[in-house]
Amino acid sequence: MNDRRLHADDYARPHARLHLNVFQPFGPIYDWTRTPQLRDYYEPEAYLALVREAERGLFSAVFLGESLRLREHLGRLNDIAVTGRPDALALFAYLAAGTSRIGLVATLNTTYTDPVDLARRIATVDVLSEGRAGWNVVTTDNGWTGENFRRGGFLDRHNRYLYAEEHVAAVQAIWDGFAADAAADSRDEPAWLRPGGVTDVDRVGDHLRARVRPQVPPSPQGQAVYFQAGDSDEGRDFAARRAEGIFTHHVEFDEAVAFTADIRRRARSYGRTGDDILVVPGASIVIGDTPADADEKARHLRERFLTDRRVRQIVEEVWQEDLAHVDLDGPLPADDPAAERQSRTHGIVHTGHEPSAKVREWRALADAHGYSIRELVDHLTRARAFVGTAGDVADELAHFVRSDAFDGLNVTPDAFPDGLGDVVDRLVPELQERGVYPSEYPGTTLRENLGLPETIGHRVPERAALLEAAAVSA
Amino acid sequence: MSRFPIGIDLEGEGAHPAAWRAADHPPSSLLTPARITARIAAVDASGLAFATVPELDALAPASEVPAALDTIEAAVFAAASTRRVGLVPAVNAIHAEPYHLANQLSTLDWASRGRAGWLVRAVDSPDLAAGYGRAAHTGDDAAVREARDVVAAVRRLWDTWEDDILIADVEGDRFLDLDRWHYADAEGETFHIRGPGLLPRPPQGQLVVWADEPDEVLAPLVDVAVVGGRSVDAVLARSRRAAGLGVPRRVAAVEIVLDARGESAAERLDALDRAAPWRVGDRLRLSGSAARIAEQLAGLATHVDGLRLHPAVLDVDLPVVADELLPRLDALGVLRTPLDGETLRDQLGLPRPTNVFELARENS
Repeated sequence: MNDRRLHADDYARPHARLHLNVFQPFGPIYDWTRTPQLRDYYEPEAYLALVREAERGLFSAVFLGESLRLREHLGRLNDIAVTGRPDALALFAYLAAGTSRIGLVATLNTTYTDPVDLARRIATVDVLSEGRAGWNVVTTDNGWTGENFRRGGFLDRHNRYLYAEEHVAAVQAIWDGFAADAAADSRDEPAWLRPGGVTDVDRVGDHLRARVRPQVPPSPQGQAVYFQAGDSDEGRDFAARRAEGIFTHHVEFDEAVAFTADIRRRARSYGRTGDDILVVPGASIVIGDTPADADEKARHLRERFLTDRRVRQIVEEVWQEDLAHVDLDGPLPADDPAAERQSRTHGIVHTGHEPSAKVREWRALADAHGYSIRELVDHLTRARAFVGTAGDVADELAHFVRSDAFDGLNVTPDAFPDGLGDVVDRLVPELQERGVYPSEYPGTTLRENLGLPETIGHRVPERAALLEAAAVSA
Repeated sequence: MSRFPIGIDLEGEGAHPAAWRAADHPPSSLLTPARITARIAAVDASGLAFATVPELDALAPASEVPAALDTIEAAVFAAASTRRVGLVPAVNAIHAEPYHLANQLSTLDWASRGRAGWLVRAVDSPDLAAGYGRAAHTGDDAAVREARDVVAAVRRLWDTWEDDILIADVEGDRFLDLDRWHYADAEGETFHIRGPGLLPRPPQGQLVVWADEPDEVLAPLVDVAVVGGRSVDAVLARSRRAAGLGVPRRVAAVEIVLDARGESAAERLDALDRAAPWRVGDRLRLSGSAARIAEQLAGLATHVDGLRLHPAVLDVDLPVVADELLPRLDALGVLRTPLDGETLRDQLGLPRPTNVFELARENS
């Protein structure tokens, strides 16, 4: 690694800074053994403790995964992990009251929300936090999730993106519809609302209709920052057109550099500058006193993550049956799964719904390496982590960010609510020393702290065309 | 004479349509967090028992102050800086997604440690429905039946995690006790919601469900009926009607204008009405000195279970409510002030309900 390291000025981006976000996926959290208060996982006050810790470390944002249905395993709730958590935006209203700089980014699905509700709810968090809200737009065609909603699973794979386009455009139109100077500045003006301050939105698209009078004023940052997740060609394109941040999983150096270059290239093809989109992969960080100490910590966390029941679950997800009798230190079951399709339970293993293909792949891998089930699962679930002393990890991250491999990391804390201490107290000072991390927040809004310009919606010509095509004026 | 809780409605700048002209701040700062925090802190310190957060009908033509935040989020934000006051956002049940609503309201109960309620609205119109790209309900009571189904679904979702479900059994590698969770399978006329809900049962078991003048369709699902009526007799008749429908608690909504800042209530009302007339609506309206209004309100204590005040101008009337009206009601022996650590159910004397799934198991 060291031979690759250059002098700061020789990098593609010698002055780039790193952003850190605290990422709380929607479960499953597997290490609940160190938690004295089980209810903490659902207490907004415990989340506040975590987020204040992140704010002390000058984190750019707290980032929540989406939460539309609790994880299940073989038709029952998955009982081995912490599951469930507060509603993201309601929680953010609470966090807004107890923090002052950190951004609040929620992953919210377009498929199972109505633009009129989502526009009001996100804008409310943005106002209550004085401009610190962000929206990570995701979309699904998952009918299993749809069982929790009025409309059920109503979209197919292709239409979900078209639906998402119309949904996002409707939300942004509702935000646009309340002017920054709509309310009177003085009690002596003729009316509370100035003429033309609020514009009704009336959209009739191919997939959704909405006629709405906007009711929430814009925040100091104008509109919430727009993130996206998605790795498919379609997803990357969707993101490159309008997103201001993209959430990925590419953290291997070469892969990350290639991914980021691809996103910037696509963004430029839509008339953007390319560096006006932040690339933020998820990863964990494990800090130790020595390299060996860090490795030992990582190994311990890994062991806690891969308990016997968990290893068995991952195999059962594909076989779709109870495999209680199978020896985890032996080979995969000899019989192929009877199930033809994987149940769509947001399980851990994504098979593309064809277990037989996944099983063939697994068997090949196990044969090639002589893996037992436990070793195979360990191999399959190994996620990228930055492990080492604070100095080594800081060096590595500086190398990544200066090489334009990414703009920041979504860091999942290793415990809740106190899992950020090492990063905040040990890694951050090392990053600051290397000049890749600020010593104070650059501004008060999320947009300012991410170094983003005014709302993207107003700058991308693509969107203007899309609005015209979709809108039918009243 | 019994003591009863008294709450307040936090509509915009106050109940009077010209309230914004008499507010202590310019219109454009209505929705800033500092101002919201200051107002709710004053409510929390006053001895008021609860605050309802009304929804804006943005499309209503006569909206003087046509801006408002999401009511649940505003209530959660308020929960962060208060200790005693009950927080009751109004949310229309019609067109809402029951799953989202159940989780959002449950989060409010967690955030406030059991001080949450839900003021159910059951309103529909072509304009409201158009927000969701739908048509309004038509026919006799289709809308209220829809509201009933949503409330029933939300209530069922709140029960899908039984108390004591969190076990963290390291030996067995189980965080949850699988015998204590349930699908909601809430069946409405127009939807089916699978569940379970997103987080464990709210601290109160069930949030306190409020409704304005619920009819016989909604009443069985309601804990607190808010009743109007222009005269004391009308208020009492409506309260009796709600009691007859089996609603456990009745709270009377009363508009008030107090002598304040060296002006009589009549003078204040005059000035406000010149800016925008306050039409007589469907509520009792009392104006005058704190002493006089306290006497009148005390007279209601034996007939209803609580009061919800609608001050003409929040910035002006709220300090008088806190400094004069409530102390007088206390002296008259009718005010029940909330205590630290009490839930909204405690304040209203409502028991923590048994979980319907536990009940079913015990009965089987």
